[in-house]
Amino acid sequence: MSLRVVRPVLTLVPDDDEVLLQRVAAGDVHALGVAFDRFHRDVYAVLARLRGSRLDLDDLVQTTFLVLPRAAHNYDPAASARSFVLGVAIQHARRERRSLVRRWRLWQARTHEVDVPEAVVDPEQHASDREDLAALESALAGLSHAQREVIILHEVQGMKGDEVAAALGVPLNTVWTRLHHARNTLRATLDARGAR
Amino acid sequence: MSPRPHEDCARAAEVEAALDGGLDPATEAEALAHARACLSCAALERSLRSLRELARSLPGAAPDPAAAQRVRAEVLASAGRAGRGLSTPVRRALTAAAAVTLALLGGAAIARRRPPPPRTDGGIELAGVGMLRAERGAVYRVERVGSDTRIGLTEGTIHLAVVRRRRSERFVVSLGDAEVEVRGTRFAVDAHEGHLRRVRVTEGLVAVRRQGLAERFIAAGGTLEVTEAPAPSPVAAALPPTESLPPTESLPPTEPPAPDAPSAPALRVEPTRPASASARTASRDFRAGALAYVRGEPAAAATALQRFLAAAPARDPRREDARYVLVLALDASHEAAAEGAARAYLAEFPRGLRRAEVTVRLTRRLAARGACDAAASVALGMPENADGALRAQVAHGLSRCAGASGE
Repeated sequence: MSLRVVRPVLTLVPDDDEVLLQRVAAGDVHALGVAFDRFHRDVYAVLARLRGSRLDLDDLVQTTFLVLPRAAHNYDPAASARSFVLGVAIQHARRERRSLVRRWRLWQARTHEVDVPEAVVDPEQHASDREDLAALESALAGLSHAQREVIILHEVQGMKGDEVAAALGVPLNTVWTRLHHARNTLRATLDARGAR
Repeated sequence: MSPRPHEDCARAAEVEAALDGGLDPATEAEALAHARACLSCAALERSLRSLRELARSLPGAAPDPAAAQRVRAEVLASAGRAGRGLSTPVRRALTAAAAVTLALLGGAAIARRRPPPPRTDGGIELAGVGMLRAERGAVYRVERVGSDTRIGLTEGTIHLAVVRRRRSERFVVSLGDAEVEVRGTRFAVDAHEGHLRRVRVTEGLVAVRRQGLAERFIAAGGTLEVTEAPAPSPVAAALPPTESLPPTESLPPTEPPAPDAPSAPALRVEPTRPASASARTASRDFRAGALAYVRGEPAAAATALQRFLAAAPARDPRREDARYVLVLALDASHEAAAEGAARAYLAEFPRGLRRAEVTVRLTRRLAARGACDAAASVALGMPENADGALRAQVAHGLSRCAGASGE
């Protein structure tokens, strides 16, 4: 057993999510590589959309996969591995965001401005050719962080309600409630702009 | 805001739940049947479906492949070092104990986890991966992490024959300023003082990623020669290497050739020549501006570059360099106009190669005059692949704001 601590297990990893994350949890470096290849694009896309900026995104993706072997001990096979990995990423994004908000408050105090932006829109990300998509991007940026999380996971990423609940660590009913309010806000904003 | 028509129906929530997949199949079918009959619920259903369709067609941000590979290698290397399960102090202690035991037993396995020492031999067989032949004087090291093989090349020439790799297996030659990746091929890489000098491909296709440049592919028979001096200073890089040669950054991207294409010719730069009198004047202004900056005359440099920018057409490949050196020149002569010049660079070249450096300068200037929120929003535009040192400079610029507000 002690040998396995320092020697990666070089075996093929099947497609099975449960086995993959079990091996990641067991310290199998090869399995971690497979998990990275399989999920890092989703992690990147979700974090980019949640934060509205790509600044330091690579670092956040890296942290997500660095803590994955430890987090994977808590994996419940009822959910997909993808939603589990996204959940790990989101927990880290939240921690990072809390410190970002603190910094914004500091600047706000300094400049006497009242708005604490929920999301800063990256012009590159915002440069959609389609007016309706650009309007949705900016409407998303106007949502509260909690509402944006559920919309991105459920509506944009297509995750099921229970997977969203597991990823965010909230009860399923909370997910439905947040979705309902977020959609009302989005539809009102889009209708007001005549984007739909 | 006027009340929404679908708020009239008491079953609106049920229809929404049905569309979310939150109901059992029988209730869901019933709710959707109701929506077909009820005017306000039908409107709600249409609205929710169109919102979902719109959300699903949002373009997703994609990671830069080179950055993703770097992150992947770092994750795997750290995971390999950490061993498994460091979740509890007990486990950590067990891991440490295991490591000590192994060290006492000779420590061969642990030694493999340290970066191997540089090699200067005539080459080796890379088990399961291929063959490496080193020319006399070549300095390199071989690291294998999981299914990844990485050759760090500092000096000289190595020849490689790599057997076909699976998608999850990587074979990379890393240099100080570039990396060369293959799936299965025969090729040679030449380095000097850690910088890439040449890649020559005999078989297959290789991808070359040079610092600050777009990925390029070289097919069998092709050669990539790096002609400019290694590690150029920002200004030297912005200057054209010769009278007629445009900066390397303005090269058109090379497409991967068709598999049955004949051997690709060596990738070389075709010099662009100014055609008209006004183009010659523009060239003179550009050169005068750049040289004045190098001579330490930022004011003269700024004047000449502004003249060049006013005359040069939008597609001139030197515009980016001119905009960048103009920022440096105005910044050096403490001109307030440096802010405008930096914004002009970012506006004209939103994906420019000097975006990180310009962002640093603009952030610093804004923070220094107390425009902290503007500085913060500029800083957030920092390119995601920016060098760590430049990011640190942005953070340092912003720290003035945090410090000032804490007083």
